[in-house]
Order: sequence, then structure tokens, then C-alpha cells
Amino acid sequence: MDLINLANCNRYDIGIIKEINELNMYDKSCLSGGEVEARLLEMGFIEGARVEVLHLGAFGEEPIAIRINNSNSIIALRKNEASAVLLEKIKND
Amino acid sequence: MTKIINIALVGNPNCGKTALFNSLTGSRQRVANYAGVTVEKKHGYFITPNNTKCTLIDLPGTYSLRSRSPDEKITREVVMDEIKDESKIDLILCIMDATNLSNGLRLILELKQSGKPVIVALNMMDIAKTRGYHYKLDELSKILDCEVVKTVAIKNQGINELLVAIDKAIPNLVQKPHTWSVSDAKGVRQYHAQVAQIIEKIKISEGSPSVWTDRVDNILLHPVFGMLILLVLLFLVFQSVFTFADIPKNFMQDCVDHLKDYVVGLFPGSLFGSLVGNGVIAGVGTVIVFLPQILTISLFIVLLEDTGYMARAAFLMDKIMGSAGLHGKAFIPLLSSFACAIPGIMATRTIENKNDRLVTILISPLMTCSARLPIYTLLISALIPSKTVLGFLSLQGIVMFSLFFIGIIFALLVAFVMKIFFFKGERQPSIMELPSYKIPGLKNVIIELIKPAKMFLKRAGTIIVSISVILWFLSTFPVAPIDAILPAIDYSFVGILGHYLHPIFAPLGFSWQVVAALIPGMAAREVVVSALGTIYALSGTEDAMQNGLGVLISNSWTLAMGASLLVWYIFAPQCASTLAVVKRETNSIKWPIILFSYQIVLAYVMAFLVYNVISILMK
Repeated sequence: MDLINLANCNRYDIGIIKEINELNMYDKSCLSGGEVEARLLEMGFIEGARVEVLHLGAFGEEPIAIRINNSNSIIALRKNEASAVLLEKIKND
Repeated sequence: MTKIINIALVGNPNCGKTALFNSLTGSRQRVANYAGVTVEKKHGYFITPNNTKCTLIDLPGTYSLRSRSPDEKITREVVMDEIKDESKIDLILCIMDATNLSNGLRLILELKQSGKPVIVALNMMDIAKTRGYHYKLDELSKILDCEVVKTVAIKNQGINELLVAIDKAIPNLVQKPHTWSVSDAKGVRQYHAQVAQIIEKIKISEGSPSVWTDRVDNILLHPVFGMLILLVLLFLVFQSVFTFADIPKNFMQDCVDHLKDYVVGLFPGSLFGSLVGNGVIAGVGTVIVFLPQILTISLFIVLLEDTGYMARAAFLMDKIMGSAGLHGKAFIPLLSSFACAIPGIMATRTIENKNDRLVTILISPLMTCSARLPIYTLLISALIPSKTVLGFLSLQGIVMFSLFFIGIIFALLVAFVMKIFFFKGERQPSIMELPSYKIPGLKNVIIELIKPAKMFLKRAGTIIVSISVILWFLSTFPVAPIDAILPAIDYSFVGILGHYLHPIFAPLGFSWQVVAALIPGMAAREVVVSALGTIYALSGTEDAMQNGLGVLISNSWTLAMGASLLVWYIFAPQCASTLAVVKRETNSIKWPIILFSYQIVLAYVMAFLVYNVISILMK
């Protein structure tokens, strides 16, 4: 199964998180030692969760606004942080 | 006397914590700072139905006790009783968003490890109900081994039940030894697994997120329309500050003027009458009339915050912030700085990274704070014709908006330059939450509005009264000789100092009166207008006495001179309290010095350019 990086997703894409790993990040200088990973996890990212891309920012499609599972709140993140999240795409309009 | 119970209020960001705090304590609140560190300590007081006095300590919102920012560190330290000289926490009140249970439950699991008794307020129950999030709360209470109370903080619902639960908990508050330790990514995954199990056990139905929020977001976060709406909204804020708030302001101005004339008239020709009338009443009065404008801008900020739009604004601005090397979250402190740089600088505490936080602190004073409104309003209404453009926009409003805009552009430029030269280093992750839209609660809005009003009036009552008196003294003494040819003020200390410093500011087109007024303005910007008033009034210009400062300026100042002073005020470091707060927040004298120096250089250069360019163009 092909995995797609959250940073490369289009609007309305839906996927299941397969891996959260900061070694996948574009810019690895961004804080090291599991820090980004821990922060993503604290904001609700977790392997197995369903992610839906809701909105993309105006400039360079950044930041990315997503919903995790059926949570009532939305998480916005920049591409670099999003690139630590790998998804298995399940829907694509 | 019975013991006062200390309760810590903890919760995720955006779960209604402030609303619950306001509901429980009403106006019985006190804001101070933790000794040594610079995090705001917000205490409130309430009495339970059983007559137990409680202190409620509002702690910064957090997702975990792992403390990534100075704010979150305080939450952990208070919960764990790690702060010296602070009374120990007896009970933790954990508030949780019922529509976002998993984030809240992870925090509760951590809090339980503090060994302290916990009560859970399951907030936003109304939204949870309509959205179909149903849980077996008895089961949840059993699993967590603590009381779970349903609340709708913003509508004051469930508050009595919460008080009863607190009363029930008070007789047996037992502290167990704490077992908490910092968790890494693996640890957070374990919390996730635990929470998933809990939710599986208590779930009746899993709701669906607000469709309404999604629909609104489709417009408000739209790449083109969203941006346009944000700009229009910001513009509207400034237009209403300039037009609607002007009506009560003018009314207050009239009252102050009458009062002043009345008092001066009571003691004709006496020094005392002059001190009370020209010193205190004129000084405080010219400042107090800006209360409606400060309330207007604060109202907008509270409303934007409480509806959930503020986070959307941060989303829209994130890329622009990012290109200046700033965190998306920096937008919120910067917007607060429009009211006053001090709360803005304090709001930077939510920014995790030290360098990001420093840069945000250093550019916050470039946001046009409300204390600059007096001088802006005075100069704009004196020098810019009150015309309407395109049928509905006031030209004066547009000029005001551009002044704000120039401040913003330069703030971003300064941040960009600082990031390149002084704060190289690792990039920071930028992750934030966009809460679903809500209708703000009236009580909460009122409490949040009273705060800046109180702060402003307190300043007016203390700093500004004393500056006015000192200024009156300096501009009245030494008294002019009997055979004086020049107006009395030329012989006073202010006159002497103004004339002495005048050559430095002459290239900017400032008259010596302006230079003299800049001096007291160092303590608080809003004083400049009253200082100008006092100085001109005492220079004996008939115009100033009869028609007020505005008319005098529009008659005798050139456009270049006014524009130069306006530009000076966009950049000038004219506020001692801001510098003091920067020193406190950065815990070093270095940063306020850097802030002061870069601002004064920028102000001088820009005012010089503007004065000379306009002078040449007008010839």
C-alpha cells in the first residue's frame, strides 16, 4: 500500500494515519529528539486515526487545516510538521 | 476560621476555561505575577453552598504537563506544588471539552498522577448534545475515580452542581504521593491507548462535528474571500474606533472642559486653581476621554476571541507570519498589542520557543496601541479634512488605518531582519487548534471588558495624575520675570529643556513645544496630548485657550510637521511601562535597551524622511 505524506495531500483528502515519524520531515533541523512527534501526538495525532484535510492556506497551500477522527475541533499545521505524518489514502475527490 | 481551600483550574486550550473561571468567581478576581517568573497569576474567590471559602487559581491552558512554554511550565509547577511560597493545591478542577474527549482525558490521566483529588467539569454539554456526542458519565466517573459534572460555562449552567460537588469533596481531600514523570513520544502513545480504551467503555454514540462550523469556515478560511473578510473586519474595527466611539468621547470631552473651567473659575488667578484645573483635571481629562475608544477596540478583541474567529485570523496570517520568521501564534499577541503592548507582550508566553517569543516581544510595541490614539486622533482631525471617500469611507479613518498598517509592515520587516541576523537557529513547529464557532456569553464579555477599562483608569488615576502635576509644576516654574517679553512658559523648566533639545529634533520639523511635550510622553504616550495642551495654553496663545488644541494645530502647523510627528509616534519608544515589562519578561536589561535603541533610530529616520519629502512636495 502506498503511503502519502500529509504535506502533499489535497483539500478533501481522507486518510488513515499509518506513521508519525519526524525522520520523514522535510526540514529536520526543526527540533529533534522526538519533540515534534510528541507535540503532534499531544494535539491528537495517533496511528490509526482518520484524518480529513478541510482547508488549505492561501499562499503555498499552507497551513493545512485538518480534522482528526470525529473531533469537533480542527488542527492547523505547517507543511513541515505535516510531513512527519504518513497516511494511507482512503478517499479522494 | 476554617481553612481556605485552594483549587487549581486546569484544562486544554479552547475548552471554555476562562468562561468557567468567570462563572465561578464573577468579578472577585485578582491578577498578579508569580514571584521570579513572569507568568500571570489569576486568582478568583468564591464561597461554596456549605460556606467554605475557596481560592480558584486559573492556570494556562495546556495539552499535557510536559511544559513546552513558560506558561505550561507554571501549570505543572502549581499542580505539583513545586512553587515556593505558594499555598499548596488541595483540589484540581479539570475542565474538559465534551466534544473533544480524547485530548481532555489524556490531560486528566496525567493530572491524576499528581496524587491530588480531581473533579471533572465536562463542559460544552449543550454542543455535545446537539452534535450527538453521548457518553455514560457514571461509568466515566467510576473509571476516573472522581466526580464528573456537566457544565455549560458560557451559559452559567451546571455551576451550582459543580459547587455541590466541590462541597462533597472537601471533607475528604486526601493527597497521595505523586507518580508523574515526563513522558516522551512513547509515553504519549500509551496515554492515547489508555484513553481509547476508556472512550470505548463509555461511548453511547460518537457525534459528528459541527457542519455549521465547516460551512462558515469554507467562506472565512477561503484563500481569497477569507483574506478579504479579514481585511474588511480589521478596517471596520478602526473605522468604528474613529467614528462610533467618537460620540461618547466628544461628550466626555465637553464635560471635562466645563469641569475645568468651573474649577479654575472658583479660584480666580490662584496657583491652586491652576494646579487643579490646568494640571490635574486637564491632564487626566484629556486621557480619560479615550476610554470609549479603548473599550471599542477591546470589545472587538474579546468578541473575535470568544467566537473562535481569532484562531482563524491566525490561520490566515500564518504564512505571512512565517515568512517573517514568526510563529502563527504570534498573531494573537500582536493583535492584543493594538489595545496595549503590555498584555500583548504578556500573551507571547504561549509561544514555546524562546527566540520566537523574543522577536514577537520586540516587535509588539510597533503595533499601534490605544495610547497612541489620542495623538493620532488629535493630529488627524486637525490636519486631514473630514471628507468621505467613495461615498461611505471617512478619509480620516483611512489615514488612521494606514498608520496602523505601516506599523504592521515595519513590525514584520523588523522581525525578518532580526531573524536573519540575530536569531538564527532551528525552525519551530507551528501547530494550533481552530475551535468550533461559538456565540459569546454576555457575562464573560463584560468581565473581559472591565479588565482593560480598570487597568486604563488605574493608570489615569496614578501615573497620569502624577505626571500631570509634575508637568504643571515644570511648566509653571520658574515664574516669568515681570518685565517678560516672551510667554511665561519660555522661562519655565519645560521651556528651557524644550529649547535646549530643540536643535536635535529640528530636522524632523518639531517645534520646541512639541519637543517639550515629548519629555513627559516618555512615561506614557497618552500624556503627550495633554502636555501639548498645557504647554500651548501656558504659552498664552489665545487660540489655544479659546478654541482648543485641534484648531490651534490646524491653523499653525504644516502638514509636513504633523505627518512627521505621526510617523514619529508609529515607531517611537514612548512608553516606560512597556520597557519595564520587556525587562521583566526577558529577565534582562539587554532587550529593553535593544528595543529602545532600534525604535528611536527608526522613529528619527522615518520622521526625518517624511518631513523632508512632504516639505519638498508641498513647495
